[in-house]
Amino acid sequence: MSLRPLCHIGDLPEGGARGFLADSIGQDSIFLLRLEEKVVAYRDSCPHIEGARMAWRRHEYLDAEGRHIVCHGHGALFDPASGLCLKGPCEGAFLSAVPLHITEAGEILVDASHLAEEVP
Amino acid sequence: MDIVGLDSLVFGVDDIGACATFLTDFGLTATAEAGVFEALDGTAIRLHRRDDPALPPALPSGSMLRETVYAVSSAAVLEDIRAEISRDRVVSEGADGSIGFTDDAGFALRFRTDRRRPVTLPGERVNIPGQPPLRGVNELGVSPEADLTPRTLSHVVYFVPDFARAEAFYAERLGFRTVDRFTDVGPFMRPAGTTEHHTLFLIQTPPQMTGIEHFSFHMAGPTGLMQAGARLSARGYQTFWGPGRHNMGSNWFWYFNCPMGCHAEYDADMDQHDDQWVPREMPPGPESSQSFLMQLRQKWAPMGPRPAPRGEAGATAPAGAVA
Repeated sequence: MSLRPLCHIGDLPEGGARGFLADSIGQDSIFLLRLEEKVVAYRDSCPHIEGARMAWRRHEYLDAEGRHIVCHGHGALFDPASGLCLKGPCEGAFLSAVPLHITEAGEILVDASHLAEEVP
Repeated sequence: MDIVGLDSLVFGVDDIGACATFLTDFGLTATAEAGVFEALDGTAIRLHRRDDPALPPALPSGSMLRETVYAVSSAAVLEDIRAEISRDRVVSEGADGSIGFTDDAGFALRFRTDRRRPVTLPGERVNIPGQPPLRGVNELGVSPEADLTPRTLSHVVYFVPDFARAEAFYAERLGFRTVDRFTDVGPFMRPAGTTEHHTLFLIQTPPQMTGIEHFSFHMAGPTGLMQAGARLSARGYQTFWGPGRHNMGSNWFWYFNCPMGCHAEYDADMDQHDDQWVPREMPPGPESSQSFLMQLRQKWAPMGPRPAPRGEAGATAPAGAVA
């Protein structure tokens, strides 16, 4: 296992999203959400079309009120905590969750070897 | 029926600010009318709040496209359309003389007399061996100051639950022609008043997806498309597909995600067809969907190590040395 540091939990906007592990042209591989009690991470890939990026601009994964994750490709809505698609082409499917390691000091790390297999 | 092309697309959105930012960065021009972003010829995307009571009802999917507006050549054409459509559904009349109704899949349509401005700027011109230069001598092909404003609203693509029924409506009731088709997916259609390969493409999907898949604006040429797409990428916008070149229509393409919950496409150099054309049919798939597909990468300069500054010690390699 090779753990790769992403950021400190304090770097994540409360109730907001942030993408990480960008390719050479600024398209992120995963995104993190800081919810009330936890931090969740998903691959930036819509269950509707494998590999389709979801943000409309880098880090812009949420709707205007921050209530849902949105795939801006076709407007699919997802529950932030579970990744379940509530409405849209992939209704009933889940986003692909990425396990995180959070240290006592609040540093967030991701298993990069796991990502190498999972993220195209 | 002399329907000549698209006039505008009307969206009902939650975040007008985000949509306005996107459309401006896309290259459209904000007009004096709030929420209206136009191409060079005045064809436009029009933004309203989702709950604006002036908008036609939303589709059950929540698709943010609320109305597709077509241009027709004269008021007489509006009367022809009204006479045909009012046989089986309500046709409303707008204060501007336009007429509106809903198609069989639930998409709100509006027709109005053509208000597009003629665009007489030259397009992309290329120099070809054996031909006289298409671009003047000493005239540059690439400029960092190139105007990347889209020329005109090119086409709209719908997800529909029954493409045969939708195709029949546009063909039989509105005089659209099917130019080409993907087997079991749907047709590329053009109204009778334009030779564009398509202003409408229908894609069959499960009913809950009924809504807009993408809209597209024509650029002046492939170079403008590449420059505009690279500029949008540099601003953090996310590619969905492209750049590449389609087989059907031959148009170059580059699709981006957009905050209106659909894809926004730049296209360039689309085929033109008339009624002599015999429609093709292809099975859908990666081979038929594009002639080629590329992926943006960071700019680089593969020039090897820089030469040492002149006059510095060691600047001149000893005789016989190979770098």
